[in-house]
Amino acid sequence: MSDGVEFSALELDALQETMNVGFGQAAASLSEVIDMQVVLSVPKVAMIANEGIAAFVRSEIQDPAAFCMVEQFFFGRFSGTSFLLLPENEGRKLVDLFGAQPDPEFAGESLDALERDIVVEIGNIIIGACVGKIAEMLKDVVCYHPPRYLAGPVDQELINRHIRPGGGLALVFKTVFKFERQDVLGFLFLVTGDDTASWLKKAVDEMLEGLL
Amino acid sequence: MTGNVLIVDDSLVARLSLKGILKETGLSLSEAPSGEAALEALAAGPPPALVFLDLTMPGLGGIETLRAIRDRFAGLPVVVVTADIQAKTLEAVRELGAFAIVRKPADKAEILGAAERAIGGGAAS
Repeated sequence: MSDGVEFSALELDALQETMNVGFGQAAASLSEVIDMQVVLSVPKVAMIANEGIAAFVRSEIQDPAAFCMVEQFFFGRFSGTSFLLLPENEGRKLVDLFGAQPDPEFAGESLDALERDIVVEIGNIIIGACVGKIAEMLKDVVCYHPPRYLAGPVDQELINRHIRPGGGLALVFKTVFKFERQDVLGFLFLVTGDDTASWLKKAVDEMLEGLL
Repeated sequence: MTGNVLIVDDSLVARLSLKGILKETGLSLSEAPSGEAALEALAAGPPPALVFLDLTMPGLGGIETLRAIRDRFAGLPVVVVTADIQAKTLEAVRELGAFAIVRKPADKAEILGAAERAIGGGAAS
């Protein structure tokens, strides 16, 4: 981090477990809305140089042109940027998840708009529940900017444009999820700002003191 | 309470947390960082009195591990400790015969209560 904060393996494990609980909450919130199980993977937390974040995100997806992104900033002592990546060409499946119907009078345009709305809504639910639960576990409260839809391709240029500039290292939380039956894969990344690192380390240490 | 408890979780912090809660019980505690390691430990014996099992793990997941325990070690009580609190996940866990389900972050009273019921012969929940 810019101020020299480093995380031990135990602290990173604690952050990963916190993300696990946070995303579990997010999946439960979403599955209630769509009445479908969200298959979770084990989250990962990594310290990455700011200039390497875009390459890290890009390396996780095979075809950047196939994905769109929902971006949402969160603010508190726990603050940063969240990126939810969903397949852009699977919009119809996502619309089906919500049981929504486009306006038949404006079929093509309406379906595109509906797909975008649904992607943003999925992002809103997942990011809000996940970030909110992590903040709660770390005894913080966060506020959010409205989520924003960004059309693909999700390449390094797009990601770089939406990461706060700055030197040093950032903490990147990553999880992959899949909608049961629809075979739609999504990714969630949380990238914390440099100013969050010191507080995050202190909060995690306090949490560990209470647990161990 | 007496006996050995096997704690299965890929997170070291989660295992340490459960050990911290259970140490006051006087139970003997062992741990496994994966489903595969848990099944190996169970096969090596002697059987524990109780297993605490996480669901979201790399490799052999918790559901598959629970199924394998049911198949190979019938009667062994398993308490699932999970962050995946979706209704369908919990339903699947119950169908596989989990003794109890505790949501993460684990609450001390729930863990101790589940251990007491499982080892003391109480009712599953």
